[in-house]
Amino acid sequence: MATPHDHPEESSQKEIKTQLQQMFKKMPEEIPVVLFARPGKNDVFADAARQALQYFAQLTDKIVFREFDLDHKQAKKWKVSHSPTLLIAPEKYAIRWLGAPVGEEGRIFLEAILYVGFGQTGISDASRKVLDQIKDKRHIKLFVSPSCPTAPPRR
Amino acid sequence: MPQTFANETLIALGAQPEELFMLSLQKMEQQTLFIPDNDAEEIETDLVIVGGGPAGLSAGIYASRSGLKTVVLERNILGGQVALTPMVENYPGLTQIGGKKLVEILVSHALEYVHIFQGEEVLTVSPGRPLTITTNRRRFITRAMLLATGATHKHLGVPGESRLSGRGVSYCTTCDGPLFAGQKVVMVGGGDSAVTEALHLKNIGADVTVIHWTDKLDAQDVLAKQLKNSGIPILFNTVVKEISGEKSVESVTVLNTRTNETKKIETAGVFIAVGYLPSVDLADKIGVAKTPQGFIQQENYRTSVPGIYAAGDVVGGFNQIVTASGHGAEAALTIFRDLLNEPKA
Ligand SMILES: Cc1cc2nc3c(=O)[nH]c(=O)nc-3n(C[C@H](O)[C@H](O)[C@H](O)COP(=O)(O)OP(=O)(O)OC[C@H]3O[C@@H](n4cnc5c(N)ncnc54)[C@H](O)[C@@H]3O)c2cc1C
Repeated sequence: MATPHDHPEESSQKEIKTQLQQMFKKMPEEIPVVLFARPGKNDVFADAARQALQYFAQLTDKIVFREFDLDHKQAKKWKVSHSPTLLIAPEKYAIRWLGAPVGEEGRIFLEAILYVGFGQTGISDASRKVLDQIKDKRHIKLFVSPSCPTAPPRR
Repeated sequence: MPQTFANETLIALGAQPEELFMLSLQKMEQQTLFIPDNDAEEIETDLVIVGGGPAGLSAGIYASRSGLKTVVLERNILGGQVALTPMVENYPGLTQIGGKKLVEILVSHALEYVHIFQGEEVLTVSPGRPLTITTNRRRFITRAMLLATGATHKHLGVPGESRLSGRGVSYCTTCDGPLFAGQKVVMVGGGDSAVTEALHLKNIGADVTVIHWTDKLDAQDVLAKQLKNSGIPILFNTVVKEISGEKSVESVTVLNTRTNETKKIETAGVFIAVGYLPSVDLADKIGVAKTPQGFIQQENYRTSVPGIYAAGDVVGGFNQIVTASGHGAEAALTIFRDLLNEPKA
């Protein structure tokens, strides 16, 4: 995994902030996000994850951000053993993020938050039809390396 | 590159379009083609092509580009026999390409132009103009129909063959070959397919012996030479009499027709490529005329029934991808011209 890094662009950052605030305002649902972290374990990523969530949380009261140590009973409840781990609306969805939502992946994380917040994913009818045919459980794991957001987009 | 696993199985390497990802998730295997579903009960069209092999797909591209509304129906897997071909080395422009990859290219290209209905088999055809075709899913009203139903493998017709089919007896090395890496197998046949498949088996690490019924291979010279150079043993003048094994293949009994000697060869797999049978079940149902050899009779791809055309392996010829494609293209253009001269239904 790459280290988190930022490319500050002052004015556009402000714009993004306002846009995000407006989006979050429209969300009908409140989203609990829980971070599990243990000091001394992948601190760089834990810090980055915490910062990202604190940033989102200060933009809106729709995101309810809490943090627990890996020892906490909540960690046991959700079977979390990796630091850092982020759970998005764990009572309702089985979505977890190991590592930090930084770089290009920060955008993906935000998308996930918005999907959960709006309670819909906007997937196409064709996709829905395929999903309808899946009768048994699928446990999906996606592995990515965060890349620089200014890097050329990959296919 | 992002990697996605479902239930610990890799289902996507790299980013995929949404629909394709869902399909990979359903099939638990990376998919490369997404064909949208269509639940219309009746579809009106200019041309219905039956068969999604190279003849049908090429015809689809040509017909559609000529301005005919065209659909392709495929009852089984797209690509026809090409999907069963391990490696293609004689399709002009592509020096060497896996059969599955070539199918992907052909189907993606065809999808730019035609609707493909996979898993649809034609059940009835009511004659007249337009023709009414029913499949297991819907009805098509069409001005013309092209039979590009291809051919399938012949069976040996020996004891044990059907009982052990799928348990060591196979007609497709691409599909089943990898299961036999490091094991003894026999390849029955001496034509292009048999030789190609024997080479493929050797390549994936199987200990393969070719069994051929005459004293000379029927395969193209290039292939015959490759086989010779590969060191694969060939039993000439030999026919398979029986395939034995309790739960799966354990041995084959062969007869040397010269010496009249019978012997048992221990083997874990029996691959068979002994020729083709044109797929004429539908043609027979419709009642189109056939040649004495059992192929659909045609002249410039027109069959004996007006509005019904035929192209590809089902009309005989050289049984090649490029010739089937050529047939498909020519048939489509013939249909286009014929329909031009006909009042629209
Ligand atoms: C193992 C093997 C290796 C080969 N290697 C080569 C090679 O290297 N180079 C080469 O040029 N050729 C090769 N060939 C031959 C080549 O694949 C065929 O000549 C070619 O695919 C014929 O095309 P086609 O479209 O006429 O028929 P097919 O490819 O047979 O396709 C016909 C399609 O029609 C479908 N169909 C049939 N009946 C119906 C129905 N009633 N309703 C709906 N669908 C129907 C079938 O399911 C099939 O998908 C090989 C063949 C095999 C088996």
